[in-house]
Amino acid sequence: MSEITTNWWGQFELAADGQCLLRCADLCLHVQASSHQWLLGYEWQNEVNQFLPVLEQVEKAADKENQQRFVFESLPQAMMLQPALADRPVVCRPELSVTLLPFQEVTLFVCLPLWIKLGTSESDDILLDIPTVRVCDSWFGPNTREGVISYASQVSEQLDVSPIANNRARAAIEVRIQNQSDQKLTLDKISVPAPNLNLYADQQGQLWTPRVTLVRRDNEDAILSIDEVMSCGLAEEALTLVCGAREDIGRSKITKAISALFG
Amino acid sequence: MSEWLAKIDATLVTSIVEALIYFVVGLILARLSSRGIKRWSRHRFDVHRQLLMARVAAYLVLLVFVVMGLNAIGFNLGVLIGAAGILSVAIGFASQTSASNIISGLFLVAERPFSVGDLIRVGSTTGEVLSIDLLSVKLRTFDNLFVRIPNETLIKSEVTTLTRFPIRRIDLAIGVAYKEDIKNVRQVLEEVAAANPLCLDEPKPIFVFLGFGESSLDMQFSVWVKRENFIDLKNSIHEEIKEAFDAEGIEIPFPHRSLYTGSVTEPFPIRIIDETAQSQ
Repeated sequence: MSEITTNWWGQFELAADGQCLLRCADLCLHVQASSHQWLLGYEWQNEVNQFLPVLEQVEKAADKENQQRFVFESLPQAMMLQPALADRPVVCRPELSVTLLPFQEVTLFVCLPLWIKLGTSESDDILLDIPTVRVCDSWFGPNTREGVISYASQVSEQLDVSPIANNRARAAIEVRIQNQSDQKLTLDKISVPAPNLNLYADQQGQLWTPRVTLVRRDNEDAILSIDEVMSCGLAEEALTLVCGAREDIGRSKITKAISALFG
Repeated sequence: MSEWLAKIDATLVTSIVEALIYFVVGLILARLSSRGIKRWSRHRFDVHRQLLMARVAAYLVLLVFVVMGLNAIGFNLGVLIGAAGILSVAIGFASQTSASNIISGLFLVAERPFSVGDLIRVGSTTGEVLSIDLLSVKLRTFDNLFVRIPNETLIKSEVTTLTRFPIRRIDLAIGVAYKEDIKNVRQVLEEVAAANPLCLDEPKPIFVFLGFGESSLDMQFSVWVKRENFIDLKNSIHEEIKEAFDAEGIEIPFPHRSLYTGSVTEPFPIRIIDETAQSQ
């Protein structure tokens, strides 16, 4: 008899000989405890797209493509599951390039893929830190010499939040783009600084990040800022911080060349 | 024996001992300063600069103590410096190759075409740079061999640094049968690249139709990859292309030879033998 829970992050007891299975987006993660060891198996299943992540206790699960074994002097009482954002920027591409007229602004909503961090209740060490979708590498920069290795987002951006608000296996982010120059701004792609963002959850289990604003000032440079406000104007009191930013941006605003922020 | 001992000047012995102590202390301090600078610069500079600074510091400390030691023996440093001019000309003639290597080494350090830890290709040798020394650069090849390349050779020859930029391109030479639809082949290749997570989606893969080959339609398909995943992608993408071509029924031809005896000669005579009739 398996017990299913949709509260899939936090601390979960895992007795010796206990097994559990987490399904989130394309990821299927199996954790099996036995005396002095945990066997972690995971794979990405292309045909499965679990919008509502579930964690269930199972009695037996099929072998997974990737397996890792961790041994302990004494078996941890519980496992820690934590959703996180990508460890590199995520490049989002509109289905069709968008042109923003001079002195106009637009708000786009983007779905960011989640990462899963798995640890033990006894230590802060992370045993596993894997994406919930099979991510594809990408390069974001003006040429092949200057740029940043990023991930490509397989989901295109939206002008409205509703299509992405029910996907609990991804994090929603509001990206405000302001064109403060007298030139048209054509967006083929934008780079979202995922490692610099905190991840919050609302009461329904939907994950959100703070709003990001990209401002094009002139023909040379642009400013990226992580705003104090949450995406969609959600009240911060109604949200719970589930994972801190992987990297500290240092200051709230950074100025970069246009090519480093807009494609 | 006692007469021989009496001949030894006690002051000279003392000064030699003093010089030796200077030398030993100098060696210890040089090593300590080298270690200290390496530790200090570990999180500030790259491996190449760490090594360079540590060496310069060690040589300077050692030089000071050697000079102090020579001074203790009573060596006239003025004469030494004067002699150094004449000596350097003599040494220059005697060791042209070494001098050339030293100067080439200085150029290599200043120009920095590569650093310690980079992967470079010089002629037919490819390997990781272990150190850039006064006379030579030491490499470790992929089959774990130690290769010493004189600095002069590096200055004179073409050196390719494989780890200079974060991404690399893999050019795949592909040939398909003449009957195949090039557009379909191109689409299949693009789908293979899109499905491989190691293949960068940006810069986009490049498809080039090279021409009509001897036995195949020749094309080049170039994909970009993160430098560290170069070998993994090179292996996996060939396998995936073969699988995709097999699934789509796209033929990868092997060289064909049509034998023709010319317009004047008769065709080759062909006789068909009925195997069943022959066995009876």
